[in-house]
Amino acid sequence: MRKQAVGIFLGILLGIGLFLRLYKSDQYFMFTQDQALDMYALQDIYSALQQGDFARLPLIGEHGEGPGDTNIEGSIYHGSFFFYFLLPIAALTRFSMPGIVALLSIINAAGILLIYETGRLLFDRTTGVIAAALYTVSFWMVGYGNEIWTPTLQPFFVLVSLAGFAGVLRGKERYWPLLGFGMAAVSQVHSSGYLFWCL
Amino acid sequence: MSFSVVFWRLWPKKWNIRIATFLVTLLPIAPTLVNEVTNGFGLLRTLWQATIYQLMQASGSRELYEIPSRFFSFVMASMGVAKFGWPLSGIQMTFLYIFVLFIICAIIVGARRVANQRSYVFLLLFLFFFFPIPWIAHMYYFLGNGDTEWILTRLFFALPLLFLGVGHIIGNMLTIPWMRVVGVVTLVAYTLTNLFLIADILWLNEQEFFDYQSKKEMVQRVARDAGGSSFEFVFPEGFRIGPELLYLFEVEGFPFPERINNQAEIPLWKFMPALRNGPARYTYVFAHTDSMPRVHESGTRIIFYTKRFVVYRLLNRGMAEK
Repeated sequence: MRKQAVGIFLGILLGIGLFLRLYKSDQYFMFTQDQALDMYALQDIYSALQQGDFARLPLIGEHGEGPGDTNIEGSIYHGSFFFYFLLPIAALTRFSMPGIVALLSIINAAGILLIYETGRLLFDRTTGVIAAALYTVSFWMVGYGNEIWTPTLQPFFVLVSLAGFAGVLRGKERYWPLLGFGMAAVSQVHSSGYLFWCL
Repeated sequence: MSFSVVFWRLWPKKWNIRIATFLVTLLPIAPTLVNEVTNGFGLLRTLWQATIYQLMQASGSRELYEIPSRFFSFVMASMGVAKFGWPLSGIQMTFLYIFVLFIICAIIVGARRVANQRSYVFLLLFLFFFFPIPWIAHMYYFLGNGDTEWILTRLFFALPLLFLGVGHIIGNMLTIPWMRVVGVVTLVAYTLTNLFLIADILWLNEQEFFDYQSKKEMVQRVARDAGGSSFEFVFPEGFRIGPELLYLFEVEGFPFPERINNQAEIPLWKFMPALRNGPARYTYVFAHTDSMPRVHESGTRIIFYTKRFVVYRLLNRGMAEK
């Protein structure tokens, strides 16, 4: 597949992906207890930074739920990277929830380019374009790409890891930092990401 | 596993790349590491419990060697060829092990023959090691409060890989004339199915979710009408709702209602200190779906209604005390 054709295809896919993710996203995004907790936490971090009270900055994120009959309830937690990643976005949008959701949707749409790059590196350009097309219209990616929720960022960081991994497989050493950052971030936005390390 | 093979075989030679990789890997994980170092590595212990111990407990096994049997039972049940909890006999287990060995050998032999070996081996290894993960997650949350997040996250791990695999297959189909139609039809069908789902579930029926806009409208309505009137909120979704309403009242700047249900105390949980308007004197009543019929009884007037919640005004004081 020619470079110019790939560019045109990717441009179209990116346009479609952005439309699907942004259209009416300010109305239908989920807003429940988790989202409110995260927003309170973000505001607290922001206020701590403004006041220079660094002791208030959290080292851990939300607590996960454990099985009911054991003593591990409350000892599983997500990393606080989720908050620190969201903080600039929240500050940029002045803590407007639709604004944050819109930026998260754009980050999710950036996955179109990452999956293309992964497919290109692993196989060829055609695979990259088709995989990008599948990702663009995927209901799961669109539906959960614009929530302020810990699992929301995982597809993006999984793709960052995979793009880095594909580059490393091709012998390109400069992809190593991408792989390292992606894998670390996957585990820190939601604790299930540690399972990703096992793969 | 597949990652570790790559780490072992392809470790970067340049020192600047090594240092950069180390630093950017450390960046997201640093707060967790500090917390673990200062608190005695509790997360490692918990993860160990969540994998091995919980696997045995939740599946009812007492010995480690029973785990493979339970695993295959679960996999077969997931595929619809057995019932959950169906124990496998020793002979069945032997056949299964032989079958799995055969698959592994086939994968290795197949991977050696393809032109682009590394990519295929990686994809196959990744999917092979991904295979047990749903089981681990299922067992881990078997007795917990639901596993939606874990189902979702493992879906997020698998989907990009599946997209790449399917993309490669369709890409190859497009190069073979008699397969081209199948490839195109597959792509079109997939696209239309997903677009239909997006339009139907996300755009047309957005109130299926207890979403931001609905809650914002509700809070606006309450802020406008509250005062001397009595209000009762009924949330058919259950008890774990509330902080988001307080967030909207507080952060979006809607005036908090003076009196609701004419009660002196309200259970606003731990979020009360976040509100700036002093001690609580408001009551929010949360109810399950089966409380809905009561709303339509006499003595009430519905003032705002969606599929997920209803705000109604109490005309009969006795209702609030129920």
